[in-house]
Amino acid sequence: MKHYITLVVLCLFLSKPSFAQKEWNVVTRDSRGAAQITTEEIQMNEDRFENSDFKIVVGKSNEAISVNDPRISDETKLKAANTLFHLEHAKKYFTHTVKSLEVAKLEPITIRLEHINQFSDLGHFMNDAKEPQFNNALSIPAGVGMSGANIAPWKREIWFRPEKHIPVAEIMAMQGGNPLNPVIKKVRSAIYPMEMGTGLSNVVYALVNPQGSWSNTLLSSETLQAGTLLLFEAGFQIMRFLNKVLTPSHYFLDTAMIPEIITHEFSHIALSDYLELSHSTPVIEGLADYFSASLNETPKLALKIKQYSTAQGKNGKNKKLFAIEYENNRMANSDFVLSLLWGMREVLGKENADQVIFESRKYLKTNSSDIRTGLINALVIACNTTCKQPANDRLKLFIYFEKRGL
Amino acid sequence: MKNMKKTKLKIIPFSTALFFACTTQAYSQIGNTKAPPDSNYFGHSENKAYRSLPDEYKTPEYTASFLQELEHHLSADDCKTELMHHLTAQVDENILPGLIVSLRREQKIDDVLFLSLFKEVNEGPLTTSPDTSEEPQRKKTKEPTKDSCDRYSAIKFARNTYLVSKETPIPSEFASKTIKKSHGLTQQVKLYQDFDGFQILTLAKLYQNFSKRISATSAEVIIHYGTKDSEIYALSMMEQYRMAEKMFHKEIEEMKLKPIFSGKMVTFEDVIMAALETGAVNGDQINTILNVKELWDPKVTFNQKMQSFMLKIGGPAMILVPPPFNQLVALGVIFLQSVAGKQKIKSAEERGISIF
Ligand SMILES: [Zn+2]
Repeated sequence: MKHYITLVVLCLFLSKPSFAQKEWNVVTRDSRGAAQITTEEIQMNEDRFENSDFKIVVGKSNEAISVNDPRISDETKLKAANTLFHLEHAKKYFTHTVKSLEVAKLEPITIRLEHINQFSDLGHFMNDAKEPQFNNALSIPAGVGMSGANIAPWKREIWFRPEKHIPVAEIMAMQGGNPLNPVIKKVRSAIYPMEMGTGLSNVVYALVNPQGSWSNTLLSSETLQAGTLLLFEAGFQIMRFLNKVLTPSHYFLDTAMIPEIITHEFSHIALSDYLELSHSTPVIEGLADYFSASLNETPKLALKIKQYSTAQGKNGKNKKLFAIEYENNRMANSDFVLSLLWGMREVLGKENADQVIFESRKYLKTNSSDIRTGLINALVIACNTTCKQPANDRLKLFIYFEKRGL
Repeated sequence: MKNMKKTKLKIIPFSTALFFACTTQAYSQIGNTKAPPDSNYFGHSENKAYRSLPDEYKTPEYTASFLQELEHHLSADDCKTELMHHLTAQVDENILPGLIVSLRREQKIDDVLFLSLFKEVNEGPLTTSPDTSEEPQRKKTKEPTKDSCDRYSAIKFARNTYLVSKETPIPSEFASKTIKKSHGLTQQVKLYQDFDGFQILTLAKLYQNFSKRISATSAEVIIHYGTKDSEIYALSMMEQYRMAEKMFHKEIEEMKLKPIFSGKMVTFEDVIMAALETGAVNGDQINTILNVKELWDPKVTFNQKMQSFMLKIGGPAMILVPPPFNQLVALGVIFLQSVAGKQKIKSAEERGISIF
């Protein structure tokens, strides 16, 4: 009898891949949203950071990181555990809460840590000689490879770049000239915790807009043009003063350590049955932000995590008014779409909002859907099939979008 | 400071008293002692009628049997004549109004039926000699109004033929809430008092049109250039919604011109109430629909007005004020903008990024 039971247990053990619960330190959030290190259980292979859903590798390698590999630093192992933990959490949310059949059927996803090569849609990795990449994370589409050039086909992957401390003074030295220059604006808003913000740009807008206000009668259009630049610069100088106190001397972003960035990247994968991974638009980034926020139950992304990032996080709680500028791809990292979608939870209830927003991906086009027509249209159509009371909820959504300036 | 407060307090009761003095005088002149104007039913005359009712008629048993009689006769075709004959034969006409009030107080009948009946017994010619009545004025002004029994059956007809869903409309707080400036009338009673069945159908239709337009799958504007050329502009969902809202507003306003309304004021709330009564909309949707009006009648608080004023003058001030003080102004504007996050925002249309 005893032998019989042992045999059955042994059979069960062998029939399943040998994944086991292991305890590892990972980054989580405490009750007030601050980052902390806690010990959590992770479902993984005996001695490798790998399970049926994900495989964590370093750089261009195709081997999952071994727990016992002396060549891999403890820091990288911590990152491997951290990404695996949050990716599992994200996948569970999409399969259990959003009830996505597509995500449940996903192939195992390869996760690359400390990966500095640029992406090539033909060759998978760009040549090592190309400028290495830091302080970033991205999801890449699958590719067919090139048998002649010895490049194997690859599936969807998520890449995490290593962090690199860049002196803020160095970045500032690259600046100058027209403060309206999009590149400079982007760099500035990435560095500074306090963005110059829509506050000032709204004022500028009111001045430049011919029907905006009575101020036109006071000022000629030339004064306005010059004034606009002055205004931006004046505002910026003030913000710079405030930021001097608040900004650290170096800029860096350790993406593999930040829970919301990991789940944001997985959200891209979850949405990729309709929204290709090759593009980054305000709508696509906003959707990934929303699901990252929803599965972490907070609209605050990558905030309160100073040990791993000096970049500006996102806060979906700010109920910003829509501005046409948010349509621009260079504003893909603004948190407007996140806040617009997050606000839908108050309108529809969070479970229903999750469903409607996830469904909306079917009615979006990867590179041509904008916020004010494409996204709104997709959400309204998605509501027709996914809302609890379509007629009433659709009207609620219209009223809500109207209030958000759309 | 203290003195100022005191004088303010004194003025309010005085003006209210003055208002009441004027209105009561006006009423007594028009209606003499009997038959006060419609809007005064709920209140004074209702209480008076109830007080005059002997206690034995106030028992639940009696009201139940009385209600049975009523239901029988209301379903008859020639309901008014038969009902009145029957009622006056059975019950002393002096206590009839009180009896009807007691029915309502025990929640045996709804406000609509109550109003119909109460009007009937209070103003209708219960005796067969209307010509000798002391109030020829009232007769004249009431001429175009159908008698309330007819009206009630018209409503029943409207409900039965116009119901969008087969289910009975879910009652809503909106219908039973009393309206300001209307002597304690509820929204529902006001609707039946102001409009007849056909008018109510017309109003409900306005809402239906709006509802259909916002759920349309697409809308376009076509511009014809006279030649073979034309331009088609596809509206976005939000443009389509705002267009529907504006058409809704416009159509409500235009109702005043329609002969069937003969200059009668139609409000947004009347339309919603009509839609609710005919089942074009359900009670649980009412709170959403009431927000639709925000677009053409926004609520603006004093603080919001103040903030928008400060922001308006803050912009030019930043350029006009010499440096370094302009930086202070800029700081102020930034501060105000961050504080004024929840202020009434300009619509996309006002900002020129939407054609409707
Ligand atoms: Zn992204």
